[in-house]
Amino acid sequence: MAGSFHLIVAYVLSASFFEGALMTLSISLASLLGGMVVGLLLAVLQEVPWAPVRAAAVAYLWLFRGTPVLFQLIFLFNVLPSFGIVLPGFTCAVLALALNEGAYMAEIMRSGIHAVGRGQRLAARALGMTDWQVMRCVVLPQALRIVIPPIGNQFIGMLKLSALVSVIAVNDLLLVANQTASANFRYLEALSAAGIYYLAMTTLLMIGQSVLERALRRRGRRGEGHIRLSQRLLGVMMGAGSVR
Amino acid sequence: MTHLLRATAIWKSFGATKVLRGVDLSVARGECLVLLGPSGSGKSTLLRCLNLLEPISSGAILFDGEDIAAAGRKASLVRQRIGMVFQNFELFQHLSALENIALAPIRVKGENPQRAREHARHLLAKVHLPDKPDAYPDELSGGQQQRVAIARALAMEPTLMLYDEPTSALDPETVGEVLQVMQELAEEGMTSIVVTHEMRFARRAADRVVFMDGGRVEHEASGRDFFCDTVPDRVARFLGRMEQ
Repeated sequence: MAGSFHLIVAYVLSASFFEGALMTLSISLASLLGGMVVGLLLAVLQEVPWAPVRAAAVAYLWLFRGTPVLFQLIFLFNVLPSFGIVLPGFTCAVLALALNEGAYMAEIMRSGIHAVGRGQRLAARALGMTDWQVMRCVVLPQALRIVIPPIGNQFIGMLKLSALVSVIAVNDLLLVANQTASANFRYLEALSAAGIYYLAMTTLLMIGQSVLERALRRRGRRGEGHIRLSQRLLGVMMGAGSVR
Repeated sequence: MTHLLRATAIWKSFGATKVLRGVDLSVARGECLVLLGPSGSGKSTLLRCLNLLEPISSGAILFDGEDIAAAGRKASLVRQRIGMVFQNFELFQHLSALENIALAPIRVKGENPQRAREHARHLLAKVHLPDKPDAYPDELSGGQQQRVAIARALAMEPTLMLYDEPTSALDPETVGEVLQVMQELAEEGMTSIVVTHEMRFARRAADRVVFMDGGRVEHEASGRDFFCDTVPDRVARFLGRMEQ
């Protein structure tokens, strides 16, 4: 048992696990940012007063929510090369996760946009702003404040979701652990080390999110009911991540 | 007499409901016109039609000698020249008082930000709030918010101000400070159309009073004549109710 413990500590401190964790973190962050851009675009497109555009946005949501993210990942990784597009594993992983995340982020962005009252838009239009200026100067800045807490949840979900990329040979934390273990069959130690990294990262993110939300509330604007850290750790709010 | 704005035979329907039934309204340069009438008589809708926030069903609106009713895409250009103040203030929640005032001049008119902020400070002083540039809307009382909203409209240097029940959402003790600012502006020669239930203001500041009921103008008279005894029964009954 003592041997196991020492091996776990050694794995946690090893360069390969650290790099795996770093890879997991960068994939998650890049996918989240990509997802935010895609989601914001989809949300704005759904507001356009032109039906074909709205239909295209809805078709996107249908496609990416209606199939498993693991399927999308494998599909991109294996099908794109047959069109002559060969992407590095990392790029392919981020692309697939971001496109998928965008379909879920769209709903968050949309609810944020709708939370900004009609009167605010009316006041902005009355000042002579064009529809685009109303969106950019008045609606989006307020909507983004509203969506910060749910985006924090998505980040945590993404961190866990990113373990899927190990199937397309991206050296993330899970693949590092799996490969380390398959060399010496010390699965308990290797996977425990990976688990410690995952827990450390999600816990830090949750604490960061708590701090951020408290700061946002102090700045005055419509605080939602407070979520205790213990509730956060048990994943009360982690809806979207687990649906996929 | 030179008219700044002349609306003729304005009809407006929402679906099957006819809200405005052939309204004629004109306001001379420098005039303060008060619009009275029971709720549901179409006063607010008329205001929104005048600055093209709502498209009219039929009729003509001449503003500054130009037919604006068919402005279409140019509607935002027309609105730059017409200030509007709302019942619920509708200050932009994410911006300070100063930023609220300077936003449209900077973004819409492309004014130099430094100069726009200087002008905003000047306008804050004009509405008797020189010490509140950095306050956010939720740190201000209703009366203070409404005065910032007036300053925000003035920042675009409009030639006409529309007030849509500007004191209806206020605590009684802050109504006076808002009416005071409106009266000062009117005395300086700002052309204004005011929808209000404040008879004090109508008596004190109105050059002309227009009484609307059922989507029509039912009576109109100079500020002095309107409140004498010779008004039609319907108006007298309305005034009787208001002054109780």
